[in-house]
Amino acid sequence: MKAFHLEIITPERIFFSGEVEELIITTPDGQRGVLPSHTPMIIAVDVGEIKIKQAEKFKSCFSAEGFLEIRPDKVVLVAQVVEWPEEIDIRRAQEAKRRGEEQLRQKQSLQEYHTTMSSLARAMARLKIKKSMNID
Amino acid sequence: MNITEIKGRIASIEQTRKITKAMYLISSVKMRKALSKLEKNATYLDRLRMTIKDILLHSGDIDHPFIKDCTGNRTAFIVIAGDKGLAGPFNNNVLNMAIKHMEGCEERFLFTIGHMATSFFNRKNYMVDIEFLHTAQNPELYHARQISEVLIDLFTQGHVDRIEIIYTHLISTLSQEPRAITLLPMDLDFFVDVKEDSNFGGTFQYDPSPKSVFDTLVPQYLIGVIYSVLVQSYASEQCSRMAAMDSATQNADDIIKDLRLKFSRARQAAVTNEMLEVANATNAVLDL
Repeated sequence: MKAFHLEIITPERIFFSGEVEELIITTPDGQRGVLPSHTPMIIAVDVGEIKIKQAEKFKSCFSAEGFLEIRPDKVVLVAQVVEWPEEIDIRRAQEAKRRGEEQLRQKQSLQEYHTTMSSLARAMARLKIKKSMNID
Repeated sequence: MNITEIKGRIASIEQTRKITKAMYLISSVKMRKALSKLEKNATYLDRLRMTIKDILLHSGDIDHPFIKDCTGNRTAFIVIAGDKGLAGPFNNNVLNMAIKHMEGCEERFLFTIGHMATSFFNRKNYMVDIEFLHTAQNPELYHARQISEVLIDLFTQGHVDRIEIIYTHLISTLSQEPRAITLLPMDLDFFVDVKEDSNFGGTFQYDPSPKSVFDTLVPQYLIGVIYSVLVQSYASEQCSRMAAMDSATQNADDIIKDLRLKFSRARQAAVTNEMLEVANATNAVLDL
């Protein structure tokens, strides 16, 4: 199977670097797959799940906002936070979700609203990935 | 100085030495932590800047507020210093550089990170517009996110035309240097030092559109840069404090050594004196 080089980089570490067969990311318009020899492109990445296909198997992980740069030689995903499902702290995510929902009920400035919405989105995405892992 | 005076001084310097020694040990631990953070962040920042340079190079003219030309001269300065003193020349260097850098700028906004920066500018009668609290110590991504949100708001609403950040760059554990970098608007000139990583000549497509990609990319870039600058500054502070405390401890050792010598001499002199007195007295009695 054809493969391409993928790097996933966050401010705190190099999360992933290696050959993969397919990558699925969440964009503001929905999910999007990247296969080898994709045309050079820059894609905004939204909070959600990303899937990496290696040896015919998909591995999923959580990703916060970022962007994907598809170059002829490699693909680079730069994101704020990327976590494997086993690294997700479910209690922290639940707490963040509760806190976010609580804050939404209160009066907020527009800036506070955006902050709350994005932290809520992160918490929900984390919980969703954790949940889908437990069912498998 | 008599013997009791010297004894008192030795005791007090030993106390001070204990403090400087402890501070040295603490900052060396903190420095190691900061350096490991810095190392992990360096790759991220390099890649991020490379990508942005790539995009700027390969995309022709993108019409976006973040890359427009600088028209006005209202500049926002962010100055990063430490929360505490006793770090050698660390705070002074960066703050004096900031003052020099801000000269000649008529309309300016001043943001500070670290108590030392705030109190310094208050003393010099500069208006501090916003003070970001609890960020100078142990910087987290979360702080960088907050700061960049404030900055982007100011910039997109047209309150400022330019955002600069002044911090201390860590060259090595032994040398640090205050630096100023421009955050916004973005321009190819600020990426001269970034090496290009490929020679591919095509252009990129954007999904959904160049504008919306830049809308998410630039905040990312800012968060990345602010975080790394915070980490740099924090590491510099610890390195600087470590060096300062090390030399203070050595000074204390020197002084103690000196005083011990003086103490021995004074004691010896006192003993000799007493002996002389006794001998004289004995002689006088025998002569009688």
